[in-house]
Amino acid sequence: MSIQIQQTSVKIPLVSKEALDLDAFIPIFHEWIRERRIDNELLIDVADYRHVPNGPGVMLIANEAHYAIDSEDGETGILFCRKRDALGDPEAAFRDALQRAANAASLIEKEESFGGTLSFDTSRIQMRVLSRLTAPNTEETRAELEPVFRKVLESVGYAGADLAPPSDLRQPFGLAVNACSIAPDLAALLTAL
Amino acid sequence: MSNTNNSQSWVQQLGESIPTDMAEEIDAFETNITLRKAGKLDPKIFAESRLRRGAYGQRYDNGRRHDGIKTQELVYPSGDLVKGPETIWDAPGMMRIKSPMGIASNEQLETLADLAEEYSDSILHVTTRQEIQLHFVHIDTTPDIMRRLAAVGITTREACGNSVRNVTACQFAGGCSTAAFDVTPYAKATTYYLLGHKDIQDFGRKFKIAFSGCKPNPCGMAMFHDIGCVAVTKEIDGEVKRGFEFYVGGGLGAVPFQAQLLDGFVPEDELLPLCQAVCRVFSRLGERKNRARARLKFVVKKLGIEEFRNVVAEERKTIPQDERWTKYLADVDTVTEIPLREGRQLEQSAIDALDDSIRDDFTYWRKHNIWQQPQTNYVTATVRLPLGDFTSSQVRKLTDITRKFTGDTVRFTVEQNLVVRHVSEADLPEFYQELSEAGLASPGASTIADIVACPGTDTCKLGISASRGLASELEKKFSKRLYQDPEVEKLHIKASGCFNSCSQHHVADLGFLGVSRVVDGRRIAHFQFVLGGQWANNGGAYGLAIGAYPSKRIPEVIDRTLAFWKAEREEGEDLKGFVARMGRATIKKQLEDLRKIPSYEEQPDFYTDWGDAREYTIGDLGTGECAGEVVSIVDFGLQDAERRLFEAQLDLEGGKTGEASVAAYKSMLTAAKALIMVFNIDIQEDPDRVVSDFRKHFHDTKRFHDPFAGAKFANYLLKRYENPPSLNDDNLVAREAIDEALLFVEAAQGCYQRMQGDI
Repeated sequence: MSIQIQQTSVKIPLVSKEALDLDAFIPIFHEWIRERRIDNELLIDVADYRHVPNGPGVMLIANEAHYAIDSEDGETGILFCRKRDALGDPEAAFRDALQRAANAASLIEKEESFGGTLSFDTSRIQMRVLSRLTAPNTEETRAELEPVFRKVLESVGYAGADLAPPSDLRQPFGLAVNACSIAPDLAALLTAL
Repeated sequence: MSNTNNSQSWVQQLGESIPTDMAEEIDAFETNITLRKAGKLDPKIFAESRLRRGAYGQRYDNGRRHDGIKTQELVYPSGDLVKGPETIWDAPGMMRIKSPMGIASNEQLETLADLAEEYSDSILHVTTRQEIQLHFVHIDTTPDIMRRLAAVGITTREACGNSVRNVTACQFAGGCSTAAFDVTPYAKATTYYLLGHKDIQDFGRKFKIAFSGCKPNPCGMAMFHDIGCVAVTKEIDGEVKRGFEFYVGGGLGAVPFQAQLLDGFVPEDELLPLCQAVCRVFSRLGERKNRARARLKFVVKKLGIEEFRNVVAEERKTIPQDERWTKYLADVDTVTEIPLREGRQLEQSAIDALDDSIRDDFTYWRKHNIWQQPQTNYVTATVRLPLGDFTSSQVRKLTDITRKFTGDTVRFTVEQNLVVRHVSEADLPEFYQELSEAGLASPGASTIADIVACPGTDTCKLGISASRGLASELEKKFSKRLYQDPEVEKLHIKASGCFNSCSQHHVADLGFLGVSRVVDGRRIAHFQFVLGGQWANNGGAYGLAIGAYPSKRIPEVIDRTLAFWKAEREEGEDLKGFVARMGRATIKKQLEDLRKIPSYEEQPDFYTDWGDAREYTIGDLGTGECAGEVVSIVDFGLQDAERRLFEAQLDLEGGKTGEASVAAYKSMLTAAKALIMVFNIDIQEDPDRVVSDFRKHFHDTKRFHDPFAGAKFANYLLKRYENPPSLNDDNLVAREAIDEALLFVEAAQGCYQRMQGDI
């Protein structure tokens, strides 16, 4: 394995909801910072991008990563992006990103202010490597990383999932799980991770 | 931490696509990072060197953040390592990226999008100086960011710090019927002539230059810049000549000054030398100790415009001729932006054919976002970016659109938008629909809904109130087209988070600057309300504050003010005229009840700021970096010598003994040259000249002599000069050269410290 990666991202969409109240995430994320809700992450601040159409909505900024209630491509979900850390084994990096995204999704689902109305659709997951140096969006990268991604996914219950690359080659390399019929629910996913 | 894998780096990946001089500058900056991490470079000098490369601090980088209840320590992994005074290494920072005249090609835009996605938060932020800022960037990644930018022709050099900042110009230049001529090539020539020029390396404060194609329209904002150039023509000997009304000493900030006319007609061939002369005067006479009074405007005020004019004229005579002053003039009429499509008229039938659901929106968008070009059937379209923000994903959609409809460039604007030029009118419906699909078709450009805001408490260390939070709220409110009155629609709102005026609130019709007040022991975010400013005439008049109002009441303050104006205005009376006629006291009286603060128990929400759930505090204020660190040109030279010495050591470690020997000698020459600058700012790189001047000013005068070792260290340089190093030098020679260079550079530091005592 020659590719080493650090800048990974995972997005898990929300189960479609007509009008998501993005405003609610501002006090929630401030509380997460105050109460240090996420282990092993130095949470720093909340960035408000609600004014940007199809943008990152509300972001929780951490030292090595950020979390966003992201609506890029028109679909809202929790996005975890690792920006910094030592380069490492792609399997560990991807597993870690998936775990952190799922953990944040779980925390959101449990937020009292939503009264149990929000849930995440684990049958669809978007994974990316945000480094055009270590993982350019090419067939070679796909040949190297797809088996790794697939191995992690199979280990947590996505056996045989279809993986699709982004249609625009200018985007970072990534693969998306679409409508996987055997996907674990969020609790099962977290347990498996 | 490296940002590369085992086998590849951006240096290797980009190779020769980075111009050599830019590659060397970035390598030098990366070496500074290494030196700072090793504790071998003073934090203050590193801070100014990173600022001059566009790497800025950001809120909470002092390791403290108030969480609404108490201040928490942010324990960054880097521990005590700092990137400047009170600025922790690992804390996220901001990267400011120059785009002269706001111009960006498709390739550059896509690179910016990639960088935002990989190193920032996928947001590109357009500033009021037509640049791009990326936030939450780690300092370790900045060299690679700079390399990737350099590979597409972008530099971050002198984007911050005490230097000439991004040169701005009308976004319509070259496509404007009110302009005397296209100022783009002149602004470009000024940019690249002054970039890195030795005459601008020793400023006590930043320096801003703007170009405007005409006087009445506000795009260029020449009147509040250190140098403001307004294009004019003049008939001389029967021939129409191009030139500029040349203004100096304008500026906003806490103490706004209108620029004063230095010369009513500066011929085009005198533009660059006159800019250079003004810079040299500023470098020589500008304040160093009191940063609050260090801008050019205070020099002009102190001397008076007549005396300042004389001093500049004298300075101009001393500047050696430079072929670059006029070389570019041969190409000023070369059209660089060729429309992609034939200009065709928009037929009403095409509008009628639009779907009912979008026809009204298109019509409204067309009304405010389209600028008619003098080129027949071409228009410039403004892409309004709420709060100046757009995403990496939107950038890629935008470049698809420009490639399809117009060609290769966009221009960022001082109103934090961007324009797409040379759109064929007939394409507008399709163009609009594609923008709309990309989330880029916000209407109301340059109207009351098009709010300008600085970063404020979101990311700025100096922010007192949430200017972006307020702007977002007002943007939502006014985007609903509440006011059908065209006189209201054309008003401008600008909100700054503090008195520094980064949103340019002084020239807004309705301006706001963040302050705070304590009521019953609790602090509450407020904004001073500034009325009477003028956006037209290049920012022709500055407003004055009429009082501070609670942040949460600002929408009501605006509504009340507009209602009063609409009810009482005389025919054709604009808001500025109304304020002048009625008097601020009268308007203030109308707003008096809005100053009242509900109790905390009644309305706790009042004690938070817009877009922030925490109870309001000013405990997060830090030390601003706008002023940079006053580091002399000699300090920089000596630091450069240390960097070269460090590189020599690396060469030696890598077995490149000859290179190490040569680099060690160069480090001595660099240190000597830095010292010589005290006497001769124009000293060249030539070793003969450096050694000759060093001998004259430092050796023969014994100025360089060590109190204990006498001439010993000076002789290291003189000996090497007589017997220069060679690439064939072996390890022994190289080692000796490095040891000697180390002592020489240290002696140069000591000499300069002694001289500062003398000075």
